[in-house]
Amino acid sequence: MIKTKLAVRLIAAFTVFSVICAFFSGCSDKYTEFTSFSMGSVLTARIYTDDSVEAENLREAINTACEEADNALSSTDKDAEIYHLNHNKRIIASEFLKNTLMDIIMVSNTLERKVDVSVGEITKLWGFTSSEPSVPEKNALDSAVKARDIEKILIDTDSTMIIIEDDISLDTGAFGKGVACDAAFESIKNATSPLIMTLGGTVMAFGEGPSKGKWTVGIRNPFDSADSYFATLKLAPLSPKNAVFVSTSGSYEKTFTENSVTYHHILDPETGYPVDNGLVSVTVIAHSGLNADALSTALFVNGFNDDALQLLKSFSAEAVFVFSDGSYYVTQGLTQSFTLTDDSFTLKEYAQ
Amino acid sequence: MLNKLHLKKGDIIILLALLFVAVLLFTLSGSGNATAVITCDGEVLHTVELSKVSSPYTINLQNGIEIGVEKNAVYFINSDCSGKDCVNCGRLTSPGDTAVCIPNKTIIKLTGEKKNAPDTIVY
Repeated sequence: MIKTKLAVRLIAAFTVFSVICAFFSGCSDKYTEFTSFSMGSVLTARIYTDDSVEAENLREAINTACEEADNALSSTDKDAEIYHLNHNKRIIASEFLKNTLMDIIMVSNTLERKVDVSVGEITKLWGFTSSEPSVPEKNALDSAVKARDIEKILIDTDSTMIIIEDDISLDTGAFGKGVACDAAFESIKNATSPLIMTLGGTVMAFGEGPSKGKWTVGIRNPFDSADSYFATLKLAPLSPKNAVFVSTSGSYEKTFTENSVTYHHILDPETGYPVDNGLVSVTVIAHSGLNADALSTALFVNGFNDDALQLLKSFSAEAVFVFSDGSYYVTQGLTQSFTLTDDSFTLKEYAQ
Repeated sequence: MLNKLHLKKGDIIILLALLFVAVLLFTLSGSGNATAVITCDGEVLHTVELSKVSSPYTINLQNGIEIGVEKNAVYFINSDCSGKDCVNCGRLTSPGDTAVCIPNKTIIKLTGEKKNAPDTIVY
Protein backbone atom coordinates (compact mmCIF):
# COMPACT_ATOMS: atom_id res chain seq x y z
CA MET A 1 0.00 0.00 0.00
CA ILE A 2 2.69 2.43 0.98
CA LYS A 3 4.72 1.42 -2.04
CA THR A 4 1.76 2.04 -4.36
CA LYS A 5 1.31 5.51 -2.88
CA LEU A 6 4.98 6.23 -3.38
CA ALA A 7 4.79 5.02 -6.95
CA VAL A 8 1.73 7.20 -7.62
CA ARG A 9 3.49 10.18 -6.14
CA LEU A 10 6.62 9.55 -8.18
CA ILE A 11 4.57 9.19 -11.36
CA ALA A 12 2.67 12.36 -10.51
CA ALA A 13 5.89 14.23 -9.86
CA PHE A 14 7.40 13.00 -13.12
CA THR A 15 4.27 14.02 -15.03
CA VAL A 16 4.39 17.51 -13.55
CA PHE A 17 8.08 17.73 -14.47
CA SER A 18 7.36 16.66 -18.06
CA VAL A 19 4.54 19.16 -18.38
CA ILE A 20 6.75 21.97 -17.10
CA CYS A 21 9.55 21.02 -19.50
CA ALA A 22 7.10 20.75 -22.40
CA PHE A 23 5.75 24.17 -21.52
CA PHE A 24 9.16 25.77 -21.63
CA SER A 25 10.32 24.00 -24.79
CA GLY A 26 7.00 24.91 -26.41
CA CYS A 27 7.94 28.55 -25.93
CA SER A 28 10.32 28.37 -28.87
CA ASP A 29 8.69 27.23 -32.10
CA LYS A 30 10.52 24.76 -34.25
CA TYR A 31 11.90 26.11 -37.48
CA THR A 32 14.60 25.36 -39.97
CA GLU A 33 16.75 28.31 -40.99
CA PHE A 34 18.94 28.49 -44.05
CA THR A 35 21.19 31.18 -45.44
CA SER A 36 22.56 31.55 -48.96
CA PHE A 37 23.42 34.29 -51.46
CA SER A 38 21.25 35.62 -54.26
CA MET A 39 21.01 38.85 -56.28
CA GLY A 40 24.18 40.19 -54.67
CA SER A 41 22.58 39.91 -51.22
CA VAL A 42 22.14 37.52 -48.36
CA LEU A 43 19.06 35.29 -48.56
CA THR A 44 17.79 33.85 -45.28
CA ALA A 45 14.60 31.92 -44.65
CA ARG A 46 13.01 30.42 -41.57
CA ILE A 47 10.56 27.63 -42.26
CA TYR A 48 8.26 26.65 -39.38
CA THR A 49 7.78 22.91 -39.65
CA ASP A 50 8.83 19.66 -37.93
CA ASP A 51 8.85 17.91 -41.28
CA SER A 52 12.40 18.01 -42.66
CA VAL A 53 11.30 16.93 -46.16
CA GLU A 54 8.78 19.77 -46.32
CA ALA A 55 11.46 22.22 -45.10
CA GLU A 56 13.88 21.02 -47.77
CA ASN A 57 11.24 21.30 -50.52
CA LEU A 58 10.37 24.85 -49.52
CA ARG A 59 14.06 25.80 -49.26
CA GLU A 60 14.56 24.46 -52.78
CA ALA A 61 11.50 26.34 -54.08
CA ILE A 62 12.66 29.66 -52.59
CA ASN A 63 16.22 29.23 -53.89
CA THR A 64 14.99 28.34 -57.37
CA ALA A 65 12.63 31.33 -57.50
CA CYS A 66 15.43 33.72 -56.48
CA GLU A 67 17.83 32.16 -58.99
CA GLU A 68 15.28 32.52 -61.80
CA ALA A 69 14.71 36.16 -60.91
CA ASP A 70 18.47 36.76 -60.81
CA ASN A 71 19.00 34.99 -64.16
CA ALA A 72 16.46 37.34 -65.71
CA LEU A 73 17.22 40.63 -63.95
CA SER A 74 20.95 40.85 -63.21
CA SER A 75 22.90 43.51 -65.10
CA THR A 76 26.29 42.16 -63.96
CA ASP A 77 25.90 38.41 -64.52
CA LYS A 78 27.00 37.67 -68.10
CA ASP A 79 24.39 34.92 -68.48
CA ALA A 80 21.48 37.09 -67.37
CA GLU A 81 18.85 38.42 -69.76
CA ILE A 82 19.10 42.07 -68.72
CA TYR A 83 22.90 41.89 -69.16
CA HIS A 84 22.31 40.76 -72.74
CA LEU A 85 19.66 43.39 -73.32
CA ASN A 86 21.98 46.14 -72.05
CA HIS A 87 24.80 44.98 -74.34
CA ASN A 88 22.90 44.01 -77.50
CA LYS A 89 19.98 46.46 -77.05
CA ARG A 90 17.54 43.72 -78.09
CA ILE A 91 16.70 40.22 -76.92
CA ILE A 92 14.10 37.52 -77.25
CA ALA A 93 13.10 37.53 -73.59
CA SER A 94 11.63 34.88 -71.35
CA GLU A 95 7.94 35.14 -70.50
CA PHE A 96 9.05 35.89 -66.93
CA LEU A 97 11.22 38.88 -67.92
CA LYS A 98 8.58 40.25 -70.29
CA ASN A 99 5.86 40.17 -67.62
CA THR A 100 8.19 41.47 -64.93
CA LEU A 101 9.34 44.42 -67.06
CA MET A 102 5.75 45.33 -67.88
CA ASP A 103 4.90 45.25 -64.15
CA ILE A 104 7.98 47.36 -63.33
CA ILE A 105 7.08 49.98 -65.96
CA MET A 106 3.52 50.16 -64.69
CA VAL A 107 4.65 50.64 -61.07
CA SER A 108 7.21 53.27 -62.16
CA ASN A 109 4.53 55.24 -63.97
CA THR A 110 2.17 55.12 -60.96
CA LEU A 111 5.07 56.31 -58.83
CA GLU A 112 5.56 59.29 -61.17
CA ARG A 113 8.89 57.78 -62.30
CA LYS A 114 10.55 58.62 -59.01
CA VAL A 115 11.95 55.16 -59.33
CA ASP A 116 13.07 54.29 -62.85
CA VAL A 117 14.38 51.10 -64.44
CA SER A 118 16.05 53.03 -67.33
CA VAL A 119 18.77 54.54 -65.10
CA GLY A 120 21.34 51.84 -65.97
CA GLU A 121 23.82 54.30 -67.51
CA ILE A 122 23.63 56.54 -64.42
CA THR A 123 24.28 53.74 -61.91
CA LYS A 124 27.05 52.37 -64.14
CA LEU A 125 28.85 55.75 -63.98
CA TRP A 126 28.73 55.68 -60.15
CA GLY A 127 29.80 52.03 -60.05
CA PHE A 128 27.94 51.16 -56.84
CA THR A 129 27.85 47.48 -57.84
CA SER A 130 31.55 47.45 -58.76
CA SER A 131 34.39 47.20 -56.28
CA GLU A 132 35.55 50.78 -56.97
CA PRO A 133 32.63 53.23 -56.87
CA SER A 134 33.50 56.88 -57.58
CA VAL A 135 31.86 60.24 -58.32
CA PRO A 136 31.24 60.44 -62.10
CA GLU A 137 32.36 63.25 -64.33
CA LYS A 138 29.55 65.85 -64.48
CA ASN A 139 29.10 65.98 -68.27
CA ALA A 140 28.85 62.21 -68.59
CA LEU A 141 26.36 62.09 -65.72
CA ASP A 142 24.24 64.90 -67.19
CA SER A 143 23.90 63.18 -70.54
CA ALA A 144 23.03 59.86 -68.88
CA VAL A 145 20.34 61.66 -66.85
CA LYS A 146 18.99 63.30 -69.98
CA ALA A 147 18.92 60.03 -71.90
CA ARG A 148 17.07 57.93 -69.33
CA ASP A 149 13.43 57.39 -70.23
CA ILE A 150 11.24 54.32 -69.75
CA GLU A 151 9.48 55.17 -73.03
CA LYS A 152 12.68 53.98 -74.71
CA ILE A 153 11.89 50.40 -73.68
CA LEU A 154 9.83 48.64 -76.34
CA ILE A 155 8.14 45.38 -75.46
CA ASP A 156 6.51 43.45 -78.29
CA THR A 157 3.59 41.74 -76.59
CA ASP A 158 2.97 39.32 -79.49
CA SER A 159 6.46 37.91 -79.56
CA THR A 160 8.70 38.35 -76.55
CA MET A 161 11.11 40.73 -78.25
CA ILE A 162 12.38 43.53 -76.01
CA ILE A 163 14.27 46.43 -77.57
CA ILE A 164 15.88 49.40 -75.82
CA GLU A 165 17.28 52.51 -77.46
CA ASP A 166 21.07 52.75 -77.77
CA ASP A 167 21.60 55.50 -75.20
CA ILE A 168 19.96 53.76 -72.23
CA SER A 169 20.46 50.58 -70.25
CA LEU A 170 18.35 48.98 -67.55
CA ASP A 171 19.04 48.65 -63.83
CA THR A 172 16.52 46.61 -61.86
CA GLY A 173 18.21 47.31 -58.52
CA ALA A 174 15.19 49.07 -57.01
CA PHE A 175 12.80 46.26 -58.01
CA GLY A 176 14.69 42.97 -58.25
CA LYS A 177 14.53 41.75 -54.66
CA GLY A 178 10.81 42.52 -54.51
CA VAL A 179 10.28 40.62 -57.77
CA ALA A 180 12.24 37.66 -56.34
CA CYS A 181 10.12 37.70 -53.16
CA ASP A 182 6.96 37.68 -55.31
CA ALA A 183 8.32 34.75 -57.35
CA ALA A 184 9.18 32.90 -54.14
CA PHE A 185 5.66 33.52 -52.79
CA GLU A 186 4.15 32.19 -56.03
CA SER A 187 6.14 28.98 -55.72
CA ILE A 188 5.31 28.27 -52.04
CA LYS A 189 1.80 29.69 -51.69
CA ASN A 190 0.19 26.24 -51.38
CA ALA A 191 2.47 25.23 -48.52
CA THR A 192 1.05 24.58 -45.06
CA SER A 193 4.18 25.71 -43.18
CA PRO A 194 4.52 29.39 -42.32
CA LEU A 195 7.83 30.91 -43.39
CA ILE A 196 9.67 34.20 -43.50
CA MET A 197 12.36 35.05 -46.06
CA THR A 198 14.69 38.03 -46.16
CA LEU A 199 16.50 38.93 -49.38
CA GLY A 200 18.67 41.99 -48.87
CA GLY A 201 16.33 44.76 -47.80
CA THR A 202 13.09 42.97 -48.69
CA VAL A 203 11.06 40.54 -46.55
CA MET A 204 8.27 38.12 -47.46
CA ALA A 205 6.31 36.67 -44.50
CA PHE A 206 3.92 33.87 -45.41
CA GLY A 207 1.17 32.39 -43.25
CA GLU A 208 0.71 32.68 -39.51
CA GLY A 209 3.70 34.03 -37.62
CA PRO A 210 5.03 32.51 -34.39
CA SER A 211 3.78 35.29 -32.11
CA LYS A 212 -0.02 34.94 -31.88
CA GLY A 213 -0.21 34.51 -35.63
CA LYS A 214 1.96 37.55 -36.28
CA TRP A 215 5.46 38.08 -37.58
CA THR A 216 7.84 40.38 -35.74
CA VAL A 217 9.99 42.41 -38.11
CA GLY A 218 12.68 44.69 -36.70
CA ILE A 219 13.45 47.91 -38.56
CA ARG A 220 17.16 48.55 -38.76
CA ASN A 221 18.57 51.36 -36.64
CA PRO A 222 20.12 53.54 -39.40
CA PHE A 223 22.69 54.94 -36.98
CA ASP A 224 24.02 51.62 -35.66
CA SER A 225 25.36 48.29 -36.92
CA ALA A 226 23.48 46.04 -39.36
CA ASP A 227 21.93 43.78 -36.72
CA SER A 228 20.53 46.53 -34.49
CA TYR A 229 16.94 47.72 -34.77
CA PHE A 230 15.12 50.71 -33.32
CA ALA A 231 11.52 49.46 -33.61
CA THR A 232 9.51 46.37 -34.41
CA LEU A 233 6.39 45.78 -36.47
CA LYS A 234 3.91 42.99 -35.70
CA LEU A 235 2.55 41.99 -39.08
CA ALA A 236 0.10 39.41 -40.38
CA PRO A 237 -0.89 38.62 -43.97
CA LEU A 238 -4.52 39.26 -44.95
CA SER A 239 -5.17 35.52 -44.69
CA PRO A 240 -3.10 32.47 -43.68
CA LYS A 241 -2.62 31.63 -47.39
CA ASN A 242 -1.23 35.07 -48.07
CA ALA A 243 2.02 36.92 -47.50
CA VAL A 244 2.94 40.37 -46.30
CA PHE A 245 5.91 42.18 -47.83
CA VAL A 246 8.27 44.67 -46.20
CA SER A 247 11.08 46.60 -47.85
CA THR A 248 13.54 49.19 -46.59
CA SER A 249 15.63 51.70 -48.53
CA GLY A 250 18.36 53.27 -46.44
CA SER A 251 21.17 55.70 -47.18
CA TYR A 252 23.52 53.67 -44.93
CA GLU A 253 23.67 50.85 -47.50
CA LYS A 254 26.35 50.78 -50.24
CA THR A 255 28.22 53.94 -49.41
CA PHE A 256 31.68 55.20 -50.30
CA THR A 257 33.71 58.24 -49.30
CA GLU A 258 35.58 60.48 -51.71
CA ASN A 259 37.38 63.71 -50.69
CA SER A 260 35.82 63.27 -47.22
CA VAL A 261 32.27 63.35 -48.63
CA THR A 262 30.17 60.18 -48.15
CA TYR A 263 27.95 59.16 -51.06
CA HIS A 264 25.10 56.64 -50.85
CA HIS A 265 23.46 54.55 -53.57
CA ILE A 266 19.91 55.97 -53.73
CA LEU A 267 20.13 58.26 -56.76
CA ASP A 268 17.56 60.84 -57.81
CA PRO A 269 16.75 59.94 -61.45
CA GLU A 270 16.16 63.67 -62.14
CA THR A 271 19.66 64.79 -61.12
CA GLY A 272 21.74 61.60 -61.10
CA TYR A 273 23.09 62.42 -57.62
CA PRO A 274 22.40 60.73 -54.26
CA VAL A 275 19.20 61.98 -52.66
CA ASP A 276 19.70 64.44 -49.81
CA ASN A 277 16.37 65.38 -48.22
CA GLY A 278 16.72 64.57 -44.53
CA LEU A 279 15.56 60.95 -44.83
CA VAL A 280 17.85 58.10 -43.75
CA SER A 281 15.46 55.21 -44.31
CA VAL A 282 11.99 54.41 -45.58
CA THR A 283 10.34 51.08 -44.76
CA VAL A 284 7.23 50.11 -46.72
CA ILE A 285 4.67 47.39 -45.95
CA ALA A 286 2.71 46.33 -49.03
CA HIS A 287 0.75 43.47 -50.63
CA SER A 288 3.47 42.58 -53.12
CA GLY A 289 7.24 42.51 -53.03
CA LEU A 290 7.53 44.64 -56.15
CA ASN A 291 5.27 47.33 -54.69
CA ALA A 292 7.14 47.35 -51.36
CA ASP A 293 10.55 47.49 -53.03
CA ALA A 294 9.66 50.15 -55.63
CA LEU A 295 7.73 52.28 -53.13
CA SER A 296 10.54 52.36 -50.55
CA THR A 297 12.95 53.75 -53.18
CA ALA A 298 10.40 56.11 -54.75
CA LEU A 299 9.41 57.57 -51.37
CA PHE A 300 13.06 57.97 -50.40
CA VAL A 301 13.60 59.94 -53.61
CA ASN A 302 10.36 61.91 -53.21
CA GLY A 303 11.02 62.88 -49.61
CA PHE A 304 8.54 63.01 -46.75
CA ASN A 305 5.45 65.10 -47.56
CA ASP A 306 1.74 64.84 -48.43
CA ASP A 307 2.60 63.48 -51.88
CA ALA A 308 4.46 60.58 -50.28
CA LEU A 309 1.49 59.74 -48.05
CA GLN A 310 -0.83 59.98 -51.06
CA LEU A 311 1.32 57.57 -53.09
CA LEU A 312 1.20 55.10 -50.19
CA LYS A 313 -2.60 55.33 -50.10
CA SER A 314 -2.86 54.59 -53.83
CA PHE A 315 -1.05 51.28 -53.16
CA SER A 316 -2.90 50.56 -49.86
CA ALA A 317 0.57 50.49 -48.34
CA GLU A 318 1.96 51.74 -45.03
CA ALA A 319 5.38 53.13 -44.15
CA VAL A 320 7.86 54.11 -41.45
CA PHE A 321 10.09 57.10 -42.25
CA VAL A 322 13.32 57.75 -40.35
CA PHE A 323 15.05 61.14 -40.51
CA SER A 324 18.69 62.15 -40.06
CA ASP A 325 17.87 63.95 -36.76
CA GLY A 326 16.74 60.65 -35.17
CA SER A 327 13.02 61.33 -35.51
CA TYR A 328 10.56 58.96 -37.19
CA TYR A 329 7.05 58.96 -38.62
CA VAL A 330 4.64 56.02 -38.76
CA THR A 331 1.60 56.05 -41.07
CA GLN A 332 -1.82 55.72 -39.46
CA GLY A 333 -2.51 52.10 -40.45
CA LEU A 334 0.63 50.95 -38.63
CA THR A 335 0.25 52.62 -35.23
CA GLN A 336 -1.16 49.43 -33.63
CA SER A 337 1.60 47.17 -34.97
CA PHE A 338 4.54 49.53 -34.34
CA THR A 339 6.63 49.28 -31.16
CA LEU A 340 9.56 51.61 -30.49
CA THR A 341 12.40 49.66 -28.88
CA ASP A 342 15.04 52.41 -28.77
CA ASP A 343 14.01 55.45 -26.72
CA SER A 344 16.61 57.74 -28.32
CA PHE A 345 14.30 58.05 -31.35
CA THR A 346 11.53 60.64 -31.22
CA LEU A 347 8.18 60.80 -32.97
CA LYS A 348 7.99 63.48 -35.67
CA GLU A 349 5.09 65.88 -35.43
CA TYR A 350 3.24 66.09 -38.74
CA ALA A 351 -0.30 67.24 -39.44
CA GLN A 352 -1.76 65.75 -42.60
CA MET B 1 -7.24 23.40 -2.56
CA LEU B 2 -3.83 21.94 -1.76
CA ASN B 3 -5.43 19.80 0.95
CA LYS B 4 -7.89 18.28 -1.48
CA LEU B 5 -4.95 16.95 -3.48
CA HIS B 6 -3.57 15.45 -0.25
CA LEU B 7 -0.26 17.17 -0.85
CA LYS B 8 2.25 16.97 1.92
CA LYS B 9 4.94 19.48 2.67
CA GLY B 10 7.48 17.14 1.06
CA ASP B 11 5.47 16.98 -2.17
CA ILE B 12 5.42 20.74 -2.47
CA ILE B 13 9.16 20.89 -1.88
CA ILE B 14 9.67 18.25 -4.60
CA LEU B 15 7.39 20.13 -7.00
CA LEU B 16 9.22 23.39 -6.40
CA ALA B 17 12.55 21.61 -6.87
CA LEU B 18 11.36 20.11 -10.17
CA LEU B 19 10.13 23.50 -11.36
CA PHE B 20 13.53 24.95 -10.47
CA VAL B 21 15.37 22.21 -12.40
CA ALA B 22 13.10 22.68 -15.44
CA VAL B 23 13.68 26.43 -15.50
CA LEU B 24 17.42 25.89 -15.02
CA LEU B 25 17.55 23.40 -17.92
CA PHE B 26 15.61 25.82 -20.11
CA THR B 27 17.85 28.80 -19.41
CA LEU B 28 21.04 26.75 -19.77
CA SER B 29 19.93 25.34 -23.10
CA GLY B 30 19.31 28.83 -24.45
CA SER B 31 22.58 30.49 -23.53
CA GLY B 32 26.30 29.92 -23.37
CA ASN B 33 28.31 27.25 -25.18
CA ALA B 34 28.04 29.20 -28.42
CA THR B 35 29.43 27.34 -31.40
CA ALA B 36 30.76 29.34 -34.33
CA VAL B 37 29.98 27.89 -37.75
CA ILE B 38 31.99 29.29 -40.66
CA THR B 39 30.55 28.64 -44.13
CA CYS B 40 31.60 29.62 -47.63
CA ASP B 41 28.96 29.42 -50.37
CA GLY B 42 26.90 27.06 -48.21
CA GLU B 43 29.76 24.68 -47.37
CA VAL B 44 30.71 24.38 -43.68
CA LEU B 45 34.47 24.99 -43.43
CA HIS B 46 34.99 25.25 -39.66
CA THR B 47 33.00 24.60 -36.51
CA VAL B 48 34.47 26.04 -33.31
CA GLU B 49 33.12 25.60 -29.78
CA LEU B 50 34.01 29.05 -28.49
CA SER B 51 33.95 28.25 -24.75
CA LYS B 52 36.71 25.69 -25.28
CA VAL B 53 39.16 28.04 -27.02
CA SER B 54 42.17 28.30 -24.70
CA SER B 55 44.32 30.80 -26.60
CA PRO B 56 43.42 33.11 -29.49
CA TYR B 57 44.28 32.04 -33.03
CA THR B 58 43.63 33.01 -36.67
CA ILE B 59 41.90 31.01 -39.37
CA ASN B 60 43.00 31.77 -42.95
CA LEU B 61 40.41 30.82 -45.55
CA GLN B 62 41.36 30.02 -49.15
CA ASN B 63 39.45 33.08 -50.37
CA GLY B 64 41.87 35.33 -48.47
CA ILE B 65 39.64 35.99 -45.48
CA GLU B 66 41.21 36.04 -42.01
CA ILE B 67 39.03 35.14 -39.04
CA GLY B 68 40.03 35.73 -35.42
CA VAL B 69 38.99 33.19 -32.80
CA GLU B 70 39.19 33.77 -29.03
CA LYS B 71 37.51 32.36 -25.96
CA ASN B 72 33.79 33.18 -26.41
CA ALA B 73 34.34 35.47 -29.43
CA VAL B 74 34.92 35.29 -33.17
CA TYR B 75 35.32 38.02 -35.82
CA PHE B 76 36.43 38.92 -39.33
CA ILE B 77 39.97 40.33 -39.12
CA ASN B 78 40.42 41.05 -42.82
CA SER B 79 38.90 40.46 -46.23
CA ASP B 80 39.79 41.62 -49.74
CA CYS B 81 36.26 42.99 -50.33
CA SER B 82 35.77 46.72 -50.95
CA GLY B 83 33.05 47.53 -48.42
CA LYS B 84 34.60 45.75 -45.38
CA ASP B 85 31.06 45.34 -43.95
CA CYS B 86 32.16 41.98 -42.55
CA VAL B 87 35.09 43.47 -40.63
CA ASN B 88 32.87 46.31 -39.39
CA CYS B 89 30.46 43.79 -37.84
CA GLY B 90 32.99 43.46 -35.02
CA ARG B 91 33.09 40.64 -32.47
CA LEU B 92 30.38 37.99 -32.37
CA THR B 93 29.78 36.82 -28.80
CA SER B 94 26.13 35.80 -28.29
CA PRO B 95 24.03 32.99 -29.75
CA GLY B 96 22.44 34.02 -33.05
CA ASP B 97 25.11 36.65 -33.83
CA THR B 98 25.96 36.64 -37.53
CA ALA B 99 28.52 38.41 -39.74
CA VAL B 100 28.55 38.12 -43.51
CA CYS B 101 30.99 38.93 -46.32
CA ILE B 102 28.74 39.04 -49.38
CA PRO B 103 31.46 39.36 -52.09
CA ASN B 104 33.26 36.28 -50.71
CA LYS B 105 30.01 34.45 -49.81
CA THR B 106 31.37 33.80 -46.33
CA ILE B 107 29.25 33.66 -43.17
CA ILE B 108 30.17 33.36 -39.49
CA LYS B 109 27.18 32.41 -37.38
CA LEU B 110 26.97 31.56 -33.71
CA THR B 111 24.48 28.75 -33.19
CA GLY B 112 21.43 29.30 -31.05
CA GLU B 113 18.83 31.98 -30.99
CA LYS B 114 18.84 35.52 -29.66
CA LYS B 115 16.37 36.05 -26.86
CA ASN B 116 13.35 38.24 -27.65
CA ALA B 117 14.78 38.94 -31.09
CA PRO B 118 12.42 39.73 -33.99
CA ASP B 119 11.86 37.03 -36.63
CA THR B 120 13.93 39.12 -39.03
CA ILE B 121 15.41 42.60 -39.40
CA VAL B 122 14.67 44.61 -42.53
CA TYR B 123 17.51 46.90 -43.62
